[in-house]
Amino acid sequence: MRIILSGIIVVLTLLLLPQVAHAMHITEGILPPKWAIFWVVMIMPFVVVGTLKLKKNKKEVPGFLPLVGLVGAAVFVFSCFPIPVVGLNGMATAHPAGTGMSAMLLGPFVSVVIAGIALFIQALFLAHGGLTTLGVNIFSMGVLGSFSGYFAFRIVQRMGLRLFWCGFAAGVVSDLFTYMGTSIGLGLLVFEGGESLPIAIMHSAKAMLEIFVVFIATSQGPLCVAEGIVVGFAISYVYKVRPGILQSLKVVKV
Amino acid sequence: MLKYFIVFVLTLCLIQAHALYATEANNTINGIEDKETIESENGKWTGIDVSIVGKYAEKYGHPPKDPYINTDQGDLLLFVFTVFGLIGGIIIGYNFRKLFIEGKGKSNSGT
Repeated sequence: MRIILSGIIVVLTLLLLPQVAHAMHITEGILPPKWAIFWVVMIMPFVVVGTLKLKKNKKEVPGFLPLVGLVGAAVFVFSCFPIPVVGLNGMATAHPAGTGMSAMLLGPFVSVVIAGIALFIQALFLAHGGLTTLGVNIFSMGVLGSFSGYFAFRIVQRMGLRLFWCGFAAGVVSDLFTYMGTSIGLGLLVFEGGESLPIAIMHSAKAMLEIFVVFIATSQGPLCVAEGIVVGFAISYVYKVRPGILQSLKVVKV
Repeated sequence: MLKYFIVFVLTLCLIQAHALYATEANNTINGIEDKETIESENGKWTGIDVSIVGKYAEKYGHPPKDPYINTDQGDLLLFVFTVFGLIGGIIIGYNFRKLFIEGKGKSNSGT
């Protein structure tokens, strides 16, 4: 118990160290207007449903709002916390997503809203991401990260593994899918032009795969495991200290 | 009202005095070449949005541009990160205490 608490305190302390982060977010100006609009349209339904679910759960689930505050701030800090990794040209920094944890605790739709708010603040004030690329960043970190993490958690839970491993799976899978989303966003940039549809699709798919392999081979391979461990410990801690929260949120069965 | 006015005037004087000292200090260091001692941009520890995302975007003909509100100027970005890190830390700490310290032992409800 003390070890878990100490671990969480160390992680939070490290998270709160002020650092300048540059990582997976697609930067301002990269997307042409048509793709920027496309991604905003793609994420809109998730944001609307997420907002409605947030309102509903706030009334129905006791302790939901402090948990949203806690997890929301954690996602914000997680997603701008640079971790040293091996990059393309030597040492670089990358950051975890945190949406696996929020999706597991609050549900995937609410997690999309939380990711959206975090990314909006980062784009506005921290020169991290961008306003025109907000749609694709919410899609990758919010939609893909949250839903993949949530389903990974549920699948591993059904397999009957311990709660730590359920959280671990959520953390690892959500991180990988977040970077897959970034690869999709970047890969679609080669989709334009006068090529025929099958060739354009093939070129895009090739670009996406190449970018994703570079991500995994360099930064996100070890980083996703680290995120999985943190999420695993976090969910285990919540279960030990306040199992009632997880029960009322239907994360674990009574 | 007068009290606030005096405080305002005193603050203004203080700021102006600081500006005077700063100008004077600036005059004394004029002509000395400033040198960047930390290599960060395009060097070691560059974020992967520059080393991977930025490079691919440039390769595909869509190079990144400066943010609309560009806080990436000198130490301003460090300041903004510190402020938001602090705010995030306070929110995490407050809700953590509320949920896991004050609410410890309550197993049947969330609060």
